[in-house]
Amino acid sequence: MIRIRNLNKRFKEKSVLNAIDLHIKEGEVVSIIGPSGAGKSTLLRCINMLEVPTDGEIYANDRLVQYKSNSQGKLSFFSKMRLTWLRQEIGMVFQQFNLWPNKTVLQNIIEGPCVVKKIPRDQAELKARQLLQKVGLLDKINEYPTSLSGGQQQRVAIARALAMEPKIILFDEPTSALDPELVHEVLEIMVQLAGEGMTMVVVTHEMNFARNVSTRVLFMEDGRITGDGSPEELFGNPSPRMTRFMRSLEQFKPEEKSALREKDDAYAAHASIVHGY
Amino acid sequence: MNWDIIDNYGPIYLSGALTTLKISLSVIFCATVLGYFIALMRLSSLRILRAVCFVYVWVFRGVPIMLVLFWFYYATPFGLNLTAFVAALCACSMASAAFKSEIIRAGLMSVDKGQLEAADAVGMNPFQRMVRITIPQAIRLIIPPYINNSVIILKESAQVSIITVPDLMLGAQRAYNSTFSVAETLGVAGVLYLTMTSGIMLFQAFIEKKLRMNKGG
Repeated sequence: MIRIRNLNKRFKEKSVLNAIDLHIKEGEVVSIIGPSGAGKSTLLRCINMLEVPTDGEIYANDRLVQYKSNSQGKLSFFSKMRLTWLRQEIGMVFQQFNLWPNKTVLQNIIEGPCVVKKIPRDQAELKARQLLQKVGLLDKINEYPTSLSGGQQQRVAIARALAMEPKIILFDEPTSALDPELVHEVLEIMVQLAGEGMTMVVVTHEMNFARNVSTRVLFMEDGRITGDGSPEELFGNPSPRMTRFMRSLEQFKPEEKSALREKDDAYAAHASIVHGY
Repeated sequence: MNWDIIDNYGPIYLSGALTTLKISLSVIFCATVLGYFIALMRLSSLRILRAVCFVYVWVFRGVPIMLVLFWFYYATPFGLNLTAFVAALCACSMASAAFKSEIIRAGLMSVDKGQLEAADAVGMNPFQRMVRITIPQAIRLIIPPYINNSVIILKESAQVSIITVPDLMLGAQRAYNSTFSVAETLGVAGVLYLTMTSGIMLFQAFIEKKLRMNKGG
């Protein structure tokens, strides 16, 4: 479904992704885990061209994604015009939800189908109601996003992605911006989607999701995929670097962890002192 | 006090006010369209477009409108022959576009990057994204400075009287040149100006209410 060959991404001199090769098959639920700064989000964003690779080939449904960047490293105007097919097939859920605040929940969901796919409004609305039912927010249909909690906003964002009927959905740390007690409501929907056979790629720090829900786990560090396999393989027989990563997740309290995650170097230094690496 | 001037000069005031209104609204419209494209070009990835627009804004924001008016009317480029009204329209539009472009640029830049990415992610092309996501949100933000600038445009249109466009100011000048009652003649003009600017401000109140700007979202 998604085939990536020798993908590289550099920001100025800094190499963020290094010769990535990856093949995501239909129906797979792939979790990407790893320390921050490893390039997880960048890889995810390269798949739907929100981030333009420096070089490398990406095939979506066996169709080559042709891209060109402009002088500022963004997608060139003509590539943007031509790549709308790719984005219609690939849904995306963001860490910060990114709902449009000037539109109601319903308008947020039907915007894509109506504007991009030119689906008649009443049909799109019917579909939106079904999706809202699915994420349990039918009663909020005419609310504005600002009046919803983070978890509710993220569920609307998932419904918005689903409304385009994508073949694959990318999740960029979908629960990282949520209060701890709201995480489960979003995860439940993701579990449900996975159960329905949706192809998903999830960048996550939720180890339980990676371990129990996903069919495949990728461990990334320093812009490379260094672990790739089923959750049993990876968590059952972790590499030394992954052991260290797992242990650092468990050792700190969440608040401490997120504060330290801000600065990866400090985090690594701290971890090495605590664990004696 | 001598209020006969209203009887005697009423028609001149009215036609003057109409001209002022006509020229101001045309200038606001033209300056907005021109300013929008200048703002787009200043945000472009092409350095040459950015440079050209930077120079444009730098020049027209920096020279007095009166100078531009004279330049367009008495030293029209390319040997064109413009009527006073057209010259005034061109000069004011080009000068005001520099200001409008900065206001519009601020609005376009203020739209959250994440929301634009969300628009990209559902497959919108740049035009759809501009019309459906960027502009509706930018408008909310720029209404106060935009209206502010529009009021200034209406008031500054008084300057077109110096190149003989028969606007409200010129009507008032004629009236006090023949009656020598400066306070009354200018007073009437002031009331008419205030009425027109009030109209714009009422429009601001209406549009802000319509866009739910008070609800902070």
